[in-house]
Amino acid sequence: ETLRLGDFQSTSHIVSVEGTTKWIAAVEEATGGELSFQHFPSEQAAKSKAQLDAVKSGILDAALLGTIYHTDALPLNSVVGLPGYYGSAEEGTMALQAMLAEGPMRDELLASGVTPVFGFVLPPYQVLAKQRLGMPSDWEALDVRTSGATQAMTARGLGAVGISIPGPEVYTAVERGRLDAVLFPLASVPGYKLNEVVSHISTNGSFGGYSFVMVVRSDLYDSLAPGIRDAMKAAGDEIALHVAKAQDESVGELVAGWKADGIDTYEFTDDELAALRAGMELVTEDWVGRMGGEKAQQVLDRYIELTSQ
Amino acid sequence: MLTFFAILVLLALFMAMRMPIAFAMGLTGFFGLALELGLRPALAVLERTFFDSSSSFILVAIPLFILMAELLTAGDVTRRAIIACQGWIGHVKGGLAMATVGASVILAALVGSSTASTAAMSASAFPEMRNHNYSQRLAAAVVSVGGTLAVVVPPSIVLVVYGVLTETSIGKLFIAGIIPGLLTATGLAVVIKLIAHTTDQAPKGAPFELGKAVKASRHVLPMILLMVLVIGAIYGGIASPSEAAALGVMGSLIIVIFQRTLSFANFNRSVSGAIRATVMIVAIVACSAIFSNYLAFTRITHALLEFVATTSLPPAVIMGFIVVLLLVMGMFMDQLAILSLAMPLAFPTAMALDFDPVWFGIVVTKTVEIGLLTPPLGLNAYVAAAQTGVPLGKIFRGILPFLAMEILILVLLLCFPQITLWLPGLMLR
Amino acid sequence: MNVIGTILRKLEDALHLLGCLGLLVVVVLINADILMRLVLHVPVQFQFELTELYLMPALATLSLSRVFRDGGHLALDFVPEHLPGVPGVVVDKLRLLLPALFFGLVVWMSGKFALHAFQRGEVEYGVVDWPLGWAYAIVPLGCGVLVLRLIYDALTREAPAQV
Ligand code: NA
Ligand code: NA
Repeated sequence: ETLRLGDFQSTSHIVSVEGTTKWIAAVEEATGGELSFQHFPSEQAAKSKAQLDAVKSGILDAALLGTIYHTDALPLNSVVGLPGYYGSAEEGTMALQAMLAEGPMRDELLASGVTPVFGFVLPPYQVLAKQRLGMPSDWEALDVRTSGATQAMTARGLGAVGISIPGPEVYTAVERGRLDAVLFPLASVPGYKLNEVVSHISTNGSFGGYSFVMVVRSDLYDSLAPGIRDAMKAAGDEIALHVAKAQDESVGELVAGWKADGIDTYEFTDDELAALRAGMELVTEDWVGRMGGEKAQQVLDRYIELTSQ
Repeated sequence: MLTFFAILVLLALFMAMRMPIAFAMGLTGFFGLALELGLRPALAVLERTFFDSSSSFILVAIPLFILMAELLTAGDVTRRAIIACQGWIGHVKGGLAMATVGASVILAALVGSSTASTAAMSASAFPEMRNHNYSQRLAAAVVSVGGTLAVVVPPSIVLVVYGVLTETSIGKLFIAGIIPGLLTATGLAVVIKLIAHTTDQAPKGAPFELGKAVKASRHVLPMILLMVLVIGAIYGGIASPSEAAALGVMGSLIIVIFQRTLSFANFNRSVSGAIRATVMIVAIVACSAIFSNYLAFTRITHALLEFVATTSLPPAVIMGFIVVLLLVMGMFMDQLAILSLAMPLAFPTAMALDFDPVWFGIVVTKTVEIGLLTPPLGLNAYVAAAQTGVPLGKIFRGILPFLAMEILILVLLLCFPQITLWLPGLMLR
Repeated sequence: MNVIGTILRKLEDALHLLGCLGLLVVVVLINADILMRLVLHVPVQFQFELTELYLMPALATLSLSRVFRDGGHLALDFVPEHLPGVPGVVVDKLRLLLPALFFGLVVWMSGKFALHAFQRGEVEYGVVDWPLGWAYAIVPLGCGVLVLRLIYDALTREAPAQV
C-alpha cells in the first residue's frame, strides 16, 4: 500500500532531513516495502492550515501537522505553544510523546478522525535582537515579531508589542529597524539569514514552543495490519527522539558558529528567567480561560509535570 | 502520463473557447484531481482553496497598488510628468519621445500595471508627439514600450504576484527591479536616438530654456515625494510592502485632492477598478492553486526535479530553456496567466539549480514584460491601438527595434545577475 | 426573465459595493495602524487579523459575478468569439455552463465547510476570538452569485445572429 503524505516543510529543513524523510525510509524498510509513501513536501498537496482537513477528507492519507495551524480543531494540543515550559527539543518531545500516547490531547486528534503516530517539537523559541534583552524592563515598547496569538500575548506580557510580519519580510524588517526583536526558532534562523541582521541571540529562553504531529487517517490506520502499525509506531518513537536530539545538537553548532562570527549569544541569568516567566504567566492564564476550564487545566498540569522532570 | 496530456489538451481547449483563464484552470485542475484521487477528495479540495488563497495579508498589496495607480491616472499626473521631462530634453532630436520614456519611468514608479501605464501614456503622450510631427508608428510604439516599464520598476503587481506564488520577499524584489528598470529606460532612449538620427520620424522640439524647464518640473514634485514615501517606507523600515501601498493610496488621494483633478465619479471608478483587477487576479491565483495541486499529485513536479537533479545539462542551458519557453508563452498569454501556469514548475526547478529567487523573479518579470510587446497577443500594443487608433500591424512594426533592445537587456540580466542583485545587496546589506 | 435579471444585477451591485467599502476600510485601518504605531507606539493590532480573515476574502470574492458581467475576467481572445452553426451554440453554452458546474461545486463544498464552522463555533484565537464561520461564508456567497450569473447568461443569451 502507498500512502500520500502531506508536509508543509521543505525537504531541506532539519525537521524533514532528520525526521519525516528518515521515518518514511525506516517504515518502508521495516515493512519490507509493504507500506510505502508518496511524500508531498513544501505545501505541494495542501497549505499548512489545510493539512488536517486534507487528511480527514482523503486528499491525503497522512500528514505532518504543525499543530499551531489547527488550534480551531485541536485547541488542547496548543498547550505546547505556551512560553516558559520546555527547555530543549528533547525535553519537549518526551513530554509530547507521553501526552500523545494517552489522554485528552490524543483523544482530541482521534475525535478529528486522525490517529497520531508520533510527535516532536522544535527547540524553544529564542529572542533575536540588536541589543541584549534580559529583564522585562528591557522589552518595554519594543516592536517584536511574533507569529500567532500566543506569541503576541507573550510579547505583551513582557511589555513589548507583538507584530505580525510574513516570514519572507522579516529579514528586511529587522535590517531596516521596523522590528526591534524577533521571537524565532533558532533552527530556522539560517533559512531566513536573520543572523546577518541581529547582534544578540538568547540561547536558554523559552518564548513558546512548536509541535509537529504525524497523523494517519483513522479508518485507514485501523485497517492496516497490526505488524505494520507497530512498525510505524516503533520507527516513530525512535525518530521523534532522534530528530529532537539532532535539532538540539544543530542549534548548539549554530550558536557556536554565530559566537565565532562575533554575535553575542547569551544565557539569561536565573533572575532574568524568573522575571520573564512571571511576565509570561498571563499567557498561560489566558490559555486556560479561552480553552475553557477543566480539561485544559488537566492538560496543562500534566504538561507542567512532564516538562519539569 | 496519458491523462496528464489529456488534461493539458482540455485546458488549452477551454482557453481557446474563450473561457476565462481562471475558470479553465480551476475546472481542468478539478477534473484532473478527480481522475487522480477520486471524486470525494477532489471535491474536498474545493472546500477551502478559495479561502486559503485569498486570506493573506500580503495580497492586500494588489488592490492597494492598483487603487493608487487608478487614482493617479484618473488625475492629471501623466500630462504633468511629460511636460516636466519635455522641458529638459524636448529640444534634442527625438527628445519628445525620450521625454515620454522619462515620464513613463516616473509613472512606473507610481503604478504597478503596464496596461494602466500604457493607457495613460496613450491618452497624453501620443497626441503630444503627433502635434510635434512624430510619425504615428514611432509615437504609438514608444507609448506601448514605455508602458512595460511599470512592471519592472517598483511597485509592480507582477512582482507582488510572483512574491506571493513563490514566497519571495516582495520588499527585496521591489528594490531589485530598480536598476533593470532604469537600464531598460536607457536602452529605449538609445533606440529612439538611433531612429531619430537615421529617419525623419522624430523631429526636434522647441529650443531649451532653463527657466521653463525648472518651472515645468515643479509639477512633478508631489509625485516624486509620493515615490520617495512609498519606496522609502519599505526601505526605511516604516512599513512592509503591503502597508507602504496603503500609504501610497493615502498620498495619491491627498495629491489628487490638492490638484483638484479628482471628481467623486472618478473616485468611484478608481475603487471599482481596483476591486475588479483584484478579483480577477485572486481568481487566477486560487484556480491555479487547484491546478498546481493536481500537478503535485501527478508527481510531474517530482519527476522534473529528479531529472534536474540527475541531468548533466549545465544549469545555464536549463535556465535558457525556461526563458525561451516563457517568451513563447508570452506571445499568446497575459503575464499573470503565464506566472500562474509556469511558476509551479519553473520556480522549484530554478531553486533546485541554486539560482537566486530574487534574480529569477526579475528575469521572469522582464520576460513576461517582453510578451506584452510581441504578436499575436501583445497587450500593450492592443491598448495603444485601442486608445490611439493606429493600426495594430503598424504598432508591432514600430515596436520591432525596441524589442531587439529588450531582448538584449534580458540577455544582460541573465548573464550578469549582479545587475539585479547589487542594489538589494547594498541597500539591504 | 427580466425581473430575475434585474434582481441579479442589484445583488451583484450590492456585493460589489461591499467589496469596495472593504477596500476603503483596509486603506483606513492600515494607515491608522502605521500612524498610531509611529506616534503613540500603540498599533491597531486587530487590523492584521481582520484584514487577513475577513476583508481580503471579501474584496477578492464578493465581486466575482459583477466582474464577470463586465467581462473583466482575463480570457484569451485570439480566437473568434462566435463560431458559426450548431457547434458555435454548443461552445457558447459550454463556456458558461461548465464554469457554472465548477463554481456550483465550490459553493456546495465551501458552503458546507462554513456551515460546519458555524455549528461547531470554530474560532481563530487572535487578538479576539474571531468566528471562522463568517470568514468562511464569504467565498460561497461570492461564488454563489457567480453561479446564478453564469446560468442566467447561458439561458438568456441569444445565439449570435451575426455569423
Ligand atoms: Na511600477
Ligand atoms: Na505577446
